[in-house]
Amino acid sequence: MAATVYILCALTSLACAVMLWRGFVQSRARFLMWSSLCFVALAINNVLLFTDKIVFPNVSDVLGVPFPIWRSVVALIGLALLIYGLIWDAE
Amino acid sequence: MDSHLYEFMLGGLVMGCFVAGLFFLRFWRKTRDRLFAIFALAFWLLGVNWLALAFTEQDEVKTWYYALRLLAFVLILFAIIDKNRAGRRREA
Amino acid sequence: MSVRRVHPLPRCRYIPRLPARRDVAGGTVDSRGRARAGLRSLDDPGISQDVRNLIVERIDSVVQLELLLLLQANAGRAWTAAEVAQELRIEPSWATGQLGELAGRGLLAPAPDAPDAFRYAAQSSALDAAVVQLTKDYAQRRVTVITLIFSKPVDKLRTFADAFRLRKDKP
Repeated sequence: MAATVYILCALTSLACAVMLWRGFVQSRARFLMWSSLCFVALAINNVLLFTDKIVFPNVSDVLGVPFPIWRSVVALIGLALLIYGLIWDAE
Repeated sequence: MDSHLYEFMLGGLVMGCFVAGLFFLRFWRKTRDRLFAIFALAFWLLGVNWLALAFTEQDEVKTWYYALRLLAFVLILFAIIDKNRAGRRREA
Repeated sequence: MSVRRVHPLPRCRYIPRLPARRDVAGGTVDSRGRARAGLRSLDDPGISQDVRNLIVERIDSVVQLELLLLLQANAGRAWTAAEVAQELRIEPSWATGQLGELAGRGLLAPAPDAPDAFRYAAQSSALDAAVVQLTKDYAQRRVTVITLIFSKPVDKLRTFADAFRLRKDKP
């Protein structure tokens, strides 16, 4: 159940990222680039969640850093990029 | 240390989602395009998901909180489908 | 660098076939509708701010402008998409979309008796005055008006929302 959810979320995120990147390439509007990168990061976050919980449930950290921290860092970077784009490039 | 750091990250994520949602809300008011309202809701739901995780010790998979995440992305999917439906008329 | 498609006009056969003529500011439009700014256009007192706002906020293309002016010139009458399409020589399905867009922007209203016919109905008297002025400006300073329409800055939010449209030819 959870596995399906994480995969679905990852795919949706990836689809958004692709659509927004295509839009960025056509229109050169930078806001679309930042939001595309945010969705890429969210997709990676969901994939990492899937990997962490379903594929490697017994592994608790990678390179000494716990998995949850890795996941959160990725998502945070994505959100930070989105907010940067929202503030500077969205209007 | 680890759980403090993780909770700190979750705090940042919640705040980020809240702010992003606010921006999308403003864009909705400006453009009257339903897509922005749906995105605002979706980001707020993601934020609530991370907020809930900050208050639980349980393993994420065993809670029901991923339903919030699912709902957020389902909303985004709905926004995309809604945008592509034939016969769409501009919001008043 | 790829060409930015500002005004996608698929399936539209409407290409202005105008005699080459000069406008008040010395600009010309050749027979294919290509505009060349005149030397005097830099000194031209130009288009009033109300008309500029009208163009920026509510008009996306020359065809939309012609459609609006057509309905405004025949203000008492309600037009269906088919009638508009025949008059302006555009596709009826596209005309429907354009009529709906202009109606959504407060320039047209659906006719009370025929739901898919529209008539000119500006939201406010200020808007109506701007449209009347735009009619005069279009007659006298066609090149400048067309240049204004084509030089609208990219609406980033609209671009964001449009990025999620899978088929780009829908209105």
